[in-house]
Amino acid sequence: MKQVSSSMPRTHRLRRQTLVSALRYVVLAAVLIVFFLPMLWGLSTSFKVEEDVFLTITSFFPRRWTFQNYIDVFGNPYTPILRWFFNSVKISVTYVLLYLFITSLAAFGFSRLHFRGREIVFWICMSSMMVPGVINMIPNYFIVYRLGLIDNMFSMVLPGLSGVFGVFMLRQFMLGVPKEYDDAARIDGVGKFRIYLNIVLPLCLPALVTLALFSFQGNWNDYMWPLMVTNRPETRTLAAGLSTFIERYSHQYGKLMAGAIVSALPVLVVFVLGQKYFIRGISIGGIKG
Amino acid sequence: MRKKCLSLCLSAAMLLPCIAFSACNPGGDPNISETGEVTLRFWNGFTGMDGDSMDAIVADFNEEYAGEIKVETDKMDWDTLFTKLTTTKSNLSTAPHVVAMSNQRLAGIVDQDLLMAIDDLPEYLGVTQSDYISSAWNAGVIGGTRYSFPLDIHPTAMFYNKDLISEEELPSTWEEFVEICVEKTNTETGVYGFAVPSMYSITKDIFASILLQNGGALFDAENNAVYNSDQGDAALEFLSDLVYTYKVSPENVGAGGDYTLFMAGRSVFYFDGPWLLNTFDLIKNGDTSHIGVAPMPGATGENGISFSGSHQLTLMKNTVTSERVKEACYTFIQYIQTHSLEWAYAGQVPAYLPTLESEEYQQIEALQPFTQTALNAQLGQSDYKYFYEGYNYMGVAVSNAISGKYSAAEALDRAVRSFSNWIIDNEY
Amino acid sequence: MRPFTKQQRRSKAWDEFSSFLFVVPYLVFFIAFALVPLVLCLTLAFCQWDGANEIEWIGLQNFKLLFGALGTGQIAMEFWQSVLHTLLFVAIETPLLIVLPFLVALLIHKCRRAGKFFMGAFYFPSILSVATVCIIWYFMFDTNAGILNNLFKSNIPWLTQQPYAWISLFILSSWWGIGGNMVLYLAGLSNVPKECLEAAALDGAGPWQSLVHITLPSMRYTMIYVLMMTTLSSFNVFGQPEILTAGGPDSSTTVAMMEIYNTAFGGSRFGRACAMSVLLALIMVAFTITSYKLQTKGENL
Repeated sequence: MKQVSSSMPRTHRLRRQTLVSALRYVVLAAVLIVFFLPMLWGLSTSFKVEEDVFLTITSFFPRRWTFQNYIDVFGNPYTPILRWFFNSVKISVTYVLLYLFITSLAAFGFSRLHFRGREIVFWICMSSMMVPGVINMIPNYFIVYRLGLIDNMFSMVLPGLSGVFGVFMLRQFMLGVPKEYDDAARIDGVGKFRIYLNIVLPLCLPALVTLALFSFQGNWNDYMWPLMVTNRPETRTLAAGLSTFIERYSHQYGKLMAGAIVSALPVLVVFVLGQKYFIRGISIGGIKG
Repeated sequence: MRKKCLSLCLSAAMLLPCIAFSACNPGGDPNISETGEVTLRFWNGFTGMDGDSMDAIVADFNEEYAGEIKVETDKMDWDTLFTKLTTTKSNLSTAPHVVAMSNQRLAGIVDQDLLMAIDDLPEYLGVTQSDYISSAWNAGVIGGTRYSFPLDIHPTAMFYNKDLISEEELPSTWEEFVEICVEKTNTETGVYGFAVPSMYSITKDIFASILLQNGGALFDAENNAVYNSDQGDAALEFLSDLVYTYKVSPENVGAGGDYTLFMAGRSVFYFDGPWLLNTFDLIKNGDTSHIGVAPMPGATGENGISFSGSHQLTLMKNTVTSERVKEACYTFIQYIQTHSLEWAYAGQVPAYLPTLESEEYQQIEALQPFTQTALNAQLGQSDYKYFYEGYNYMGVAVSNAISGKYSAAEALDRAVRSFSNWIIDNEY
Repeated sequence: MRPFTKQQRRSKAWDEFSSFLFVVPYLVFFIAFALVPLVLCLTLAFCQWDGANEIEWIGLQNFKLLFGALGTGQIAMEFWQSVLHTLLFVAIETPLLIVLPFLVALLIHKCRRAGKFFMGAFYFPSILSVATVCIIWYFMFDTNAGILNNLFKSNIPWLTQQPYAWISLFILSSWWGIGGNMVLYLAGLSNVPKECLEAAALDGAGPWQSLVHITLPSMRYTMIYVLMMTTLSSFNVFGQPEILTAGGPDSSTTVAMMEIYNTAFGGSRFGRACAMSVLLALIMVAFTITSYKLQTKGENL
């Protein structure tokens, strides 16, 4: 008797759970569709024939499909989009690698090593987060100018390396890695750098991947700074080039959308590749106290 | 003394990272030697399709003067260009020699002591005022000294949808314009006469033109803003009446909303500059297009007048330091002048009259409405360093009146008051 | 306590020094591109400089001007209005970007299948650059031929009248920013101890109760982190009003960053722009500290 009575609510509860979870999918899908309408419009516009763009402006599907916008975007000698693309890749990858290396070193120092003034130095760095971005932009431009780095890819790499976010995030993550590991290694006489390289860094992989995505995305999408420090079209990045592209095709929205989508794809690829580590990277990292 | 000291300290601070990276590059001038090729850097903001033509002119020039002069073009949008221009003093190795700029920004740059006086350029080129559209010619002279040389004028003209209006029906006065707009406006099909954009845009150029046609002025002889005169009020009232009284325009047309409606076949007229000719493909295939172009009402004819801008060529004081470089710049400007027909194909009206009178130019039909307008155009006060700001305050007023926030008179009064207050403050 | 021998002291000094070496590479860049600019900015705030010519020390004049003690008060008014607009944006956008992503994250977190797909989909807008986002939404918001008005058969002046211009900016910014914070929340949710939730369920706690009593408290640090980050980035808002509304209508969406940028690069008044930056930074610091204090105070109660 007892068993029967208890199994009744269980099936009941199961049924309710499937119902709730089905409802959840429905709600999510509905939200997502609304959420995706603007994207869908942009995507479909990039496949529309130029005359159709305005005639069918409120339509989410092209009346006539064309790849012409993409062909024009790639085939125009005045907007060397492939060149920009490779510049961007070169700059963003260099930046991310350098940034990960430098910030992880610093985070290791701030979280696991001791030296006089450690806390003060760390909090001075942290307080720079409060400084509005434009404050740095004006003097940084003069610094880069004086260094003779105009039209040089390092003008788009070096200033970004001063960002404190990565140090903060990796430090928090490293604080969560048990100290016993490196204590054991230290007793065995392993040097600090080896501990950093062989023990702590591999454990930080998820956080590194997450930081890589954040910093890649930031560097890739920044357009104001690259526009400031490049004069020549052939030294521009994709985002900066795209902003001149916007002027060129200011009235040709099909091409504009095609260009925007082309420039967004690489970040999407990075995101999909890194997604496995993504949640873990932030969940253990960053945010614990 | 204290000033010097401070400048020194700040320079030292800026050089600090320089030392840290030990990659200091003081930036020597490659043109210092007396022989060999002169390299000129040419900055412009022709990022639209007009830039293609300028690039072509530069490429031809480089070919013709190979071994003597080489021109490198740096293109960027105008805002970035002016941002960078102020800072070029600190590193001459990337600073430009020749810069194209709008006459509206000229006085501000002169005020920063960046431009070179080029009083001897007309003589070098063998030209006089009579060879140029006089307004563009005079725009380059500030305080009796010539700082810039005219390239073109880019007036506003009236584009129309041939499916909605025939050539015979086109208005030549604003009264006719209203009539035809009322006639063509059809709320059932959603077709309007002319969608008046309420955000900062071409509307302020139209306003300035009507203001001039009414006999008013933007600034008086002492450079005080006077666009809130009775003529100004009337002009702005006329524009807001288009929306609220005649209802030939929908309300709340944003920036770019006029273009969208025009392209969707829902508005008969659209006003813009000549750079759109290539977007509409009107220069090469004008006849086949369903879009036509005509002068703005009241801009042509005997008493016709309109407001316009002009691109000017300037030389930078800090980089053009030797006679040799200066002569190279002059040679380049001369080349642009003699090849300004190419510039016309970019969708611009060259300021050089012999080009305008040439047969090839006359055959570019789509440019003729712009040419007629340009000959009668009035440019802004190029010698006033706050012209650009004053013009922007006026733009806010126009937008406020058309969006219905203030009456025309109040909007303009407010703008003039804010602008004059702003100048007083800015001088501190 | 036994005094150290010389050798011990030396090795300790070396130990300290070698530890310090780890942070040196970062510090070099930090000093060069963050600290020096900051010092420069603080100095320039007391100077007049057009970017091209001599720098001139003018004492407190920039600040007097910005507080209306000099001149007509026009520039002071324009600046403080833009600061107010920024504060308005922060006050409304920050809560939106804290609550909305949390709701989405809650829904996605429970999805056993397709969770990854939903996460990627909601994250997607965040990877677009601000210019792209604004162009797309421009066509959504256009009054007479736009997609939103066409869908709802309405006639709302999204971009040309207040309060719609602000609403448009909030919609756009939320759409753009939801993904980033959602990912952070998902991470936080995956850290909520499962045992506690199960125990609570056994005790008969409803979903609402376990959310309030277990999930939220254990996500405290995520919340604080998201709050801080969102507040800071809201203070720095620039691209959206610059491109979507150009500060209009009637300068009502002109934010502080636009004012600073235009003063520096449009008007070549670098000294005054630096003074504005300093004032904005002070407000940011005050705001952040207050909100942090309130947050921790709420915890103690």
